[in-house]
Amino acid sequence: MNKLLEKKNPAKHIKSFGFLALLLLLPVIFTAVDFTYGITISCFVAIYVIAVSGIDIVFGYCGQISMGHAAFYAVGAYGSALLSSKLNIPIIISMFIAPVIAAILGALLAYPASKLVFHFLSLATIAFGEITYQLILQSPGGITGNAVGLATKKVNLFGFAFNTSFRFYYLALAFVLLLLAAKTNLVSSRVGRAFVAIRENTHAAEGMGVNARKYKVIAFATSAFFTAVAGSMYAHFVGYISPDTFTNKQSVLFITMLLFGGTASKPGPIIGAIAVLLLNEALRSMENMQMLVYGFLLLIVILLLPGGIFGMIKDLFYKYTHRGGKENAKS
Amino acid sequence: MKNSMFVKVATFALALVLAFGLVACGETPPSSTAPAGGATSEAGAAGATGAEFVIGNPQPLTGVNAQVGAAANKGAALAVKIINENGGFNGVPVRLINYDDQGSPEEAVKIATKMVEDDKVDAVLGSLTSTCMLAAGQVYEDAGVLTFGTGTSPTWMLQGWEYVFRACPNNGVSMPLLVSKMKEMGIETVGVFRGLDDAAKSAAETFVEECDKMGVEVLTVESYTDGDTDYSGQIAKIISKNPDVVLCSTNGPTMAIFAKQLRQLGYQGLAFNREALPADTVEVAGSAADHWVFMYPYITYETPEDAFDPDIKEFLELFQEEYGEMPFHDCAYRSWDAIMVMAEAARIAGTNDVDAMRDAVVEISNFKALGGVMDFSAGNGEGLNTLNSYIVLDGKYEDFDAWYAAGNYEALKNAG
Amino acid sequence: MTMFMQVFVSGLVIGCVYGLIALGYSLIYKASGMMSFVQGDLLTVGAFLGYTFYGLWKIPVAISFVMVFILMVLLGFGIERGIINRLVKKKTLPIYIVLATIAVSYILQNGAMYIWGSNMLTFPRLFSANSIKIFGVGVQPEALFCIVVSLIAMVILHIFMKYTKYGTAMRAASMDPMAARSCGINVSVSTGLTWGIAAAMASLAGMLIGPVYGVFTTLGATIGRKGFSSAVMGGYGNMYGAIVGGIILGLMETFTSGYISSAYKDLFAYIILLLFLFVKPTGIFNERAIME
Repeated sequence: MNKLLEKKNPAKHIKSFGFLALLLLLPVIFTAVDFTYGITISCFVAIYVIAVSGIDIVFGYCGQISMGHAAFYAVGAYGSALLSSKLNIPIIISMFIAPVIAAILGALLAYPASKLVFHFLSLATIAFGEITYQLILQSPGGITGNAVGLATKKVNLFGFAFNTSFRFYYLALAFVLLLLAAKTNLVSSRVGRAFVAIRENTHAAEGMGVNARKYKVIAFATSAFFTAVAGSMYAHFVGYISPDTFTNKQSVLFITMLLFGGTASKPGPIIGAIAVLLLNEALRSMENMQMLVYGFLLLIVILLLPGGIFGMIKDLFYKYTHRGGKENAKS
Repeated sequence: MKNSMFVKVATFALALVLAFGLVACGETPPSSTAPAGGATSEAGAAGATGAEFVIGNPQPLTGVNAQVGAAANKGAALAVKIINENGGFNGVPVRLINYDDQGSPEEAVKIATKMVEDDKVDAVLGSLTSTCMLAAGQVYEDAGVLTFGTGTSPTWMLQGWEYVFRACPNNGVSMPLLVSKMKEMGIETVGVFRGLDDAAKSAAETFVEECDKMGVEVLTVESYTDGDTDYSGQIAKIISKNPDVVLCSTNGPTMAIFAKQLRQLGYQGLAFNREALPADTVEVAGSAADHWVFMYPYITYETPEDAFDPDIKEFLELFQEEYGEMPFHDCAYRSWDAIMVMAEAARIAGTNDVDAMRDAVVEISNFKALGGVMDFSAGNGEGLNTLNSYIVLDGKYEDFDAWYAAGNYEALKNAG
Repeated sequence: MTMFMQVFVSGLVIGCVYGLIALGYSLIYKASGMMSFVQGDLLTVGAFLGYTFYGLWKIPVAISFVMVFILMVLLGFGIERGIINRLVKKKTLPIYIVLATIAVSYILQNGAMYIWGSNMLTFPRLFSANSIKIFGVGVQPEALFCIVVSLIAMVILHIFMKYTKYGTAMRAASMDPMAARSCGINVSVSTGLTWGIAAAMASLAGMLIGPVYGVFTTLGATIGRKGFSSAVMGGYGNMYGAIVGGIILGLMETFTSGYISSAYKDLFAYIILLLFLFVKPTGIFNERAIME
């Protein structure tokens, strides 16, 4: 038995190493087949994976909806851009400070909001998102550049500038691996279990001594941190930010990606971000029909694939192994 | 159970097939204007090889500015069609690829990268959304793609981009002219109503600065957010300050609603607009659009016969023949002119090499287009520096200077 | 005084529109415990349909309005039966239902653009007079019409819900579906009908503001979102609260932009929404449905 396990682990390691190697080689492959646009899309995928993983913590695991995460995305983007340009903080550090600010804001929002049920929580978060948007659009002293937006600098680490999609991809990949590892650790810890308990039944969780408000605040703050990291990455990748990016539509996009991929899992946000971004690319040639088709597809997924794509794969896998097991038993 | 699983699998498969089918279709977007000769192969972006000249055209086709984007596309498609019928650029057919940037900077950057790296476009037309230009302009500049923006905001032309030009009006130029016209008319006070988006806001800011310089007092500046439909509070405030005239710097459907509500709340004086009042706005606003004044190179008409300028008349006839309707927004002129300037640059350069064309654009100093004489010799990338003044009377556009010279402004003032 | 009256009347007009939208939210919430994000876009669709019948095909106003109502009730009913109810039956998380309504809102807004185009359309005027004088202030007759008709619609809805058999059945179905079912009430039809009536309310708002604002695809989007603020302010789920909340919000917005500053007019609606949710989630009418 022990031997079997030992044998299995290296195989798994080989698999993940292979996967990692593929991720590392991806830009090279794209360059080789003369599809460098694929690298740009991969960078956006990385940004969205982090943002959506953030939503997954608060929604997938803790069961608290947020329809205003564009606000945290904005805090990350504008926070990092302003800290680095006005206070001359190195970007790699400002990309960390801005998400901390977002996390504090998230906690401040979650504290009074934690008593609201999901419908009204969604309204509260929408209102929070709108207020943040309005404040960027008409900022005190015009610090955000208002509607004109801000030009942002590229990340520069020890003299190495991440100024192309090719280079930025590796920075983004490092962020993704780091944050996904952090997420996995968090959700499998005691805190993560408390999240799930609150999601399943808040009253029961409180009966068992889980301080629901405390954990909801933690979930919101962590979630805001993740999404803000994505926002800061966006700012320094695109090189320009303006309020148009941080509207309600963006919050809905995050949620859509999560639902597409599947909630409360590691692959869900990844699959969701990839699926929606690819779909977006595929629909590009449809010009003004794009949003219409997007609406239909979203509806179809909600109606027919409530577990998202990952949920469906899991179902299929389960059926397959289940049937396989039966057949084995028979023979 | 088995059934529902089948449905799930089928749905997913369908979505996938659809997605990949569309990706495959994306190779030859259905919107691309096929070369008239049809001599070149449709498949594959052959832009860089010189077999065809590819122009990417990102415009907002959904959202608040959807109608304006649609007008821009029609003007562009018509220009490309005419050019191809006359042998393209130096004998090479021109192909247009349309995209919807949704007015979103993120989409604009993605599309710009896709056009540069995947479609390998030679030139870009648009977007008319200034934040999209601000976001994507650097991509075009880095790639050395000849770009003509179709928006009127001063901001994106001030970035110092060498490959980015404009062949349509610049609010940075029109605002000072408007203020000096007001000064000439003896106008002393003005109330301003403006949007928060870049184009509307920066035009209004230039206007206010210019007023300060020239001694016209700005009594109040009121604003609104996109999507809002009720401006009565702002208007009541403007009216309560009793200004000589009102300046409106907005876009989208706002203009018509503002005009209606302005008249409804009892303001009967002249209203100045930062850009042309489009035909559909005049129609929706009805009598409320009367006594609106603006300075602009061109306007939209109900029939080709209404146009005074022979070039515009010819364009409108072509447009009507092609689409069975009249352009309702001047963006159709803007994209037509931009493509015609590209054609002129290709002619001067004698080659479709983008760098040679870029240098040729700067040489253009006396090229007659719909907006008037294009003159890029100032070196700031701006081509259109002359404007006409118009006033709306009984739903028609009239020459404002003639109206003013006839003493009508005094009469209106005394009547009010 | 003139300015005050003008601001007051305009505030009432937009307030009534918010009220009609919020009324739809409250009806739906009462009947099915759901939150719908479609109301704003139903307003747009209603305005487009009204434009088609009355403006394009020159069908008399009254008949056009009735035709739009019928179509919109069917549309609302269809959304509930075809999408919402399916999800409820599958016992999916309630948030999926919210997202389904967002998807429908995308479809309606962009479908409207596909059908009617992206141009701004003129909803023909309902009255020939340009303005009528009230307390010496010129008011657009359409504006008055909007206020009067929305108030009448609210009264009719009240009578319908309180004094007719169908209304009583609907109220019963929303209060206790099980008990209602045992009394022989068809709960599912009743819920569908509530969505239909909410859709009709939205389309009424659309046709009332069509002549004032013109008709375009994003007409209802912001109004729909601000309607939430009205509904929460009044007490989510409370019909009278929705109307009162709508009118208060409309007046507050116009008076703020008229007398204080227009810069933060939009911020206002959302700050009110947050404040009420955090401080007094049961709203002015102390509706208890909202607490966990």
